[in-house]
Amino acid sequence: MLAAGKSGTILSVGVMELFLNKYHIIFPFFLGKFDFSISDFALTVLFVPLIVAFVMFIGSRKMSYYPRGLQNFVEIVYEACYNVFYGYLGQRGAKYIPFLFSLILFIFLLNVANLIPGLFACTSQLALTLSLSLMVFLLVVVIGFWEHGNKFWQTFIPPDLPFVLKPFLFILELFSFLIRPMSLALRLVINMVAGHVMLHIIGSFGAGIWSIKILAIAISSILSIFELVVAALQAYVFALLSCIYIADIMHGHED
Amino acid sequence: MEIQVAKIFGAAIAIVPLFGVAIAIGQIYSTLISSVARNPSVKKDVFPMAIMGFAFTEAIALFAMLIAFLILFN
Repeated sequence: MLAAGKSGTILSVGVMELFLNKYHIIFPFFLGKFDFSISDFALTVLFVPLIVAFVMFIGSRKMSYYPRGLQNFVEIVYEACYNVFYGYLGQRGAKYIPFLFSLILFIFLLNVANLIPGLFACTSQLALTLSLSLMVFLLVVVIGFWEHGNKFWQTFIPPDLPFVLKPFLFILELFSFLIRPMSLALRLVINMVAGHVMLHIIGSFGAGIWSIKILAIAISSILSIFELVVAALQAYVFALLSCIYIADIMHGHED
Repeated sequence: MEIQVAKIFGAAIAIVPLFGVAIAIGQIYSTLISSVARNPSVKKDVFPMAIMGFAFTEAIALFAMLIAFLILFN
């Protein structure tokens, strides 16, 4: 599978090359000047969510009043997420919950797929997470203009503020608004990369004497479980932060 | 001083924010424990907030790690 000649990094800027994974091109495919080659990165991003989408589809195909089998599982997962997001968004923002639910599932599954040997660590690439967070950012901007119209810019200024403070606070709030997608994407990437670097370092202890080898195996298996927790936590944090941004722009300074 | 040595020192200094981050995470969880111990029914509301605070604080530590890597390997 990995026997491809050409390889490179996505967004290779200096240091990123050193501790980010390299993708391998499996099916080279060019359209004119544009590169549409299928890499293992693209295959993982395509197929891991497809499996889950299939499970969710089968589970919710024939909804009955008394849930049986797979429908139980689907309902438990959806309702757990729904209750968390509903607390922030309220009745008016409940229409955005399916988007957030698919976001949390997508990120969680790719995070878990990171830990399976042989699969590509997709969420440790800035290209994927930055596109996800830019999607959220665009959604927030569109919702902001949809809800407030031209008064969108006034949401950056808290009400009942002295006139002198307003421009400074506007610049500050605008800056923190624009930095959001970058910090969202970086948080996920760095968490994943830090976990993998840690596992790599612990794994390299295995070259010593046998007692250290056993210790290294024990530590790395405990760390793998810890990484599973981190995977769930980061997916939760990503979706919850997106939810808070949407709720923030919808309700503004009303409450 | 050779440039390689200077890089290592720079990376070591870039990790100093971990001091503050450790204090902050300890503070978050100690406050969570004491608030839940005083009123156990509030756990459902407080726990997501604690996780959010933890994530924000942890992000600072990881940014420090990123800066250290940038200094070390660039």
